[in-house]
Amino acid sequence: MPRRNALKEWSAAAPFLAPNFLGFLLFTLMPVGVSMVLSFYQYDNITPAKFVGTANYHRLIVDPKFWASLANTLIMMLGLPLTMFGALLLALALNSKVYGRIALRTIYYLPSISPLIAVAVVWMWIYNADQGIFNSALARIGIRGPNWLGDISWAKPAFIFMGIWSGIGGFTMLLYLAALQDIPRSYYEAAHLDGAGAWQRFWYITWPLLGPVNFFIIVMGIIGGFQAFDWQYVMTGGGPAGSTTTIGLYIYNNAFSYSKMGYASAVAWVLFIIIFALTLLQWRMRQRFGGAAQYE
Amino acid sequence: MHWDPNILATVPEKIIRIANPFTFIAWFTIGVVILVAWDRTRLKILYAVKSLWVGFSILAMLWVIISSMGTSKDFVQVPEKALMQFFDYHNPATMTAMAVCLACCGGIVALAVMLARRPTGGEYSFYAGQGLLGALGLGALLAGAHFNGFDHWRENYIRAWTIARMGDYMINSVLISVGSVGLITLLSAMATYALTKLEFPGRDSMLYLFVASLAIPTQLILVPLFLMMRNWHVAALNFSFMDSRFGLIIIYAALSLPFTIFLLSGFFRSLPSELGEAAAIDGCGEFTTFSRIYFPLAAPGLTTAAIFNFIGIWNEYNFALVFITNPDLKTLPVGLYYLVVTQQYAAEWPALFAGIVILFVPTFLIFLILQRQIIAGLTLGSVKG
Amino acid sequence: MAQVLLEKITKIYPGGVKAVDAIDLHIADKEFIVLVGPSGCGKSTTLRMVAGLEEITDGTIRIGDRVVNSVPPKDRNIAMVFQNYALYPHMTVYKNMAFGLKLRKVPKNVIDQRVMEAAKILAIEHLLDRKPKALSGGQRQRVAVGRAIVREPAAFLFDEPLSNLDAKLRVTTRAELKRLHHRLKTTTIYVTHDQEEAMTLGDRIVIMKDGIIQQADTPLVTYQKPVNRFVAGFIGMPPMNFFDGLLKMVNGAMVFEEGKLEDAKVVTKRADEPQVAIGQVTLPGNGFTIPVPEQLRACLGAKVGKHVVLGIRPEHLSLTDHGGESINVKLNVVEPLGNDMDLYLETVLHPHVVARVEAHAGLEVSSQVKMFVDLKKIHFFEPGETGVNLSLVSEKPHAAA
Repeated sequence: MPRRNALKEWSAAAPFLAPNFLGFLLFTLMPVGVSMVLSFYQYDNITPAKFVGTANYHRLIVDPKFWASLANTLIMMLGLPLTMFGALLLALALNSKVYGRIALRTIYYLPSISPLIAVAVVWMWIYNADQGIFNSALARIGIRGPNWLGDISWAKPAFIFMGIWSGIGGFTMLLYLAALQDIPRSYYEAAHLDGAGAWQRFWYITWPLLGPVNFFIIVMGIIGGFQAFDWQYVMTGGGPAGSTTTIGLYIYNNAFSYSKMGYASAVAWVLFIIIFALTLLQWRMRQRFGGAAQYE
Repeated sequence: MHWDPNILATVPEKIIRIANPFTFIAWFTIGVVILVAWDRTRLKILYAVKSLWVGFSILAMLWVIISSMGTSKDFVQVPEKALMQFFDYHNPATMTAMAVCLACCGGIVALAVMLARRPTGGEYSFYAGQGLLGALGLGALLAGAHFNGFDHWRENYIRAWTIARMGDYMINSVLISVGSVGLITLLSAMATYALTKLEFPGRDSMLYLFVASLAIPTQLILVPLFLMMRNWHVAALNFSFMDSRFGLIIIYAALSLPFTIFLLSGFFRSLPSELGEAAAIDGCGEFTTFSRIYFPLAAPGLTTAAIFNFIGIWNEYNFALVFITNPDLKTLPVGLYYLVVTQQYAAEWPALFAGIVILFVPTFLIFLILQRQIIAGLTLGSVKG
Repeated sequence: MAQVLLEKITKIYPGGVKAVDAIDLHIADKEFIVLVGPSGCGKSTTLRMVAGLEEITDGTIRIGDRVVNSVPPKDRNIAMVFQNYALYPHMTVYKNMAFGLKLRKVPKNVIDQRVMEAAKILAIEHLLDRKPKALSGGQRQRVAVGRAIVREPAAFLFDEPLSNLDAKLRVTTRAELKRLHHRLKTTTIYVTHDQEEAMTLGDRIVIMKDGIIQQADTPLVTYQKPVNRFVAGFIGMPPMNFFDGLLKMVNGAMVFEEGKLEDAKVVTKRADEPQVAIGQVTLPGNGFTIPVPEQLRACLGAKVGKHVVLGIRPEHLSLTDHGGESINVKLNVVEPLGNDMDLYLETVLHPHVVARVEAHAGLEVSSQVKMFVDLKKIHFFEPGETGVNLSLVSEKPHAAA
């Protein structure tokens, strides 16, 4: 009897899921499988693929460029605490009854709706060594600004700063805003009656209740950080001297510039495993937090 | 509209300097911050944060727009010139500019405080007033830009539109974005309905599979997908996923599905299942229940998902760069990317900025018009789900 | 119009939870039957199985003469009113009501006529163009009923339809539902957790607990002759007072002595309690003792010396002597209700006893009062949550018809 039901239930659900699952199979599951296989081959796009076992992975361990790109990726995540601070501040501002809340909403979200390319171009101009806004301003107070994107020691901070700007007005702030709006007003009213000032209300009510969302933002920030690729690709191409080459960019370059499809796949799998582990961690913790499920 | 250059000579130097768009923007922003921080409410810091952010963002946006109207020469000189004026405290013209801008901000804040005390409709009148002042300011700004020689917008935009082929790319981008967003919206709504409202064995594992796939980095998919698509060719239909708008639509749709299903599942769960039960008793089968009850009810969530996907796909260039090589089929971001690559040597910044404005305007307008639905849908779906 | 027959209906959820355990129920044509019980008793599951919204694990459901076990809900010819009404938010009231008919391809003029008729009965004609969002709770409830009646089904199913209304509206709507049933005479199955609603609405009420029918009878019978302690406690407001104690013979007369059975001891020395025979069980403490009335002695004969539970309804305790026995209690709280008042009392062994008496001035809280027991209306039960009503044993066993 249960078997017949299962069949009936399946036939009811199948028409709704079939096209989706087909797309998922062809464009996600199969590429993942192909990538797995490819990571054990040597393939340069022209000569037939050659099975090399785990050689790609062995090579990866001793590849200084891989480790450098991993380090670059990690360093460029350092702006996360500042992003969170700014985003929380902005979310607090938006959550209070500030005039023009709705009218100016689009402006707040500017970084998250702006095309990557446009953002990259504008920041390239801001960072321009000779005529950029930064250096023009610095020149006025007598400082000769560096060639931000062309200097090994300044290129990474430049991306970090840009990331802070982009993160503040983006999804981070939206998550904080949603979390803030989820805190019942009555908590604040009760605290008010208990004699808590604005700062105490923040410190004893808002901040603890933001715990789950803080954790979520940190993990998502790290996951996003590991996938960093686009700005570096457009603005510096990974330079100067590879100082802004992220893992994502390293994979892309290996695949499409150096035609090392197999090696690129091996690196991509390492990246995948890192991200998957972080995602799992986040899920586990969310189950522990329980209430945080709403921020999925 | 072409002005006789002699007219410029009759305008007093002072006015030209006051109307310098860059000085204007800078002082206006500072004025807003100061005045709002002066407000007697206890939210000073928050006001300041908000104002700084808004000021900075507006500044950046207007700067892009104004820059797209100048010449390459202006582009190099103006920030320098503006900064000079900005810091020139001894110049009466700059001080006048400061006074005008501060008065403008004062007007806005006074209006806000006055109108916000009104119990009804106050906020709306405030927005109207704010909008009017903003429009006046923008008018003054554009006039100032014109006086200062920023009147090359036609050449810049025409050059971007025709020579840099932004017009053709726009058509490609519209076709691809609209096509894939339509496909995603329909398919993901169907899947989410089945995954949240129908019972069948393996339902939860399937949902988990979709959600887990969100952790797959783009780079992992891109390489094998490129190799797979390069070799797939349906000879009978003369169809290939490479260099095909339709192919890119399908790729985008398929890759956006897990995220969209994830986003919508919270929203669908918030719709009471009793509605489906009532429909079943009223005479609906699974498909009519979906098409007549849940699909229309999910409209706010679907709108949100559609906007997110539209913005994402409209701005996407990574896959488009790999899967489109035919110059006739490039999308706007890809076109702009090539413009960046070539422009770095040719120093044609104004045309590049015109391209940015062309790329940005549709997303901006959509967000502006539909922001209410985006926010409502987002809170409904992800927060309460 | 049709009868509804449930035969050995069982529902086991995946995971092994038995929500409904082989229940039999015969609902006659035109009957208004109410399923009542605490949450988790299986009443809603039963209703949903009749509706076809839950799979039946075992047993047979017939609507009319047709076995409907595998018939989808839409073909069962039933209509249902949900607790949250489940009105389609994107349709107007008219479209909500017409939807089921439209899907059945009923001609447009017939739909129009039936919707208008139903709207007239329910006095919602002026709301037809509104969307559910613009309606009050009571109006939504009427629309939900309207959506059910336009279908002219074989049976109406109601799943706690009044629980989202405020107390006052609930009472008036209740009366309207009853009037509607008199008018339409459609077989109705109604689920509620509120015993008062069940009593006032049902031709018969079915009291359920843990997936089992405890008693199915007319409201009056369930009140006067509850088959077990659970039914006795569930029906009637405030609930019946229960006293643990012992039946014993004192000087040839059968009496009930209140007390905790775990403290019982066997009498060894006559000097302790001269009126009790040596070898008999006695209870320490100062529990009250009342004589067992004549009419109950026959059926309680076998229980002498055993643990029984005495049940007295609050309304059968009074301050005035009608020739009954009395017990001494301490008065803790007085709750005036207008015509009546509730007294919260305390016996030596039982801290929560309630009495409903006629309103009465001059009672002093914390004082000792004498409460007279209407001996004709007391019950004795076996110990345990669902202990059988011993007072009914000599009569014909109650069939759960």
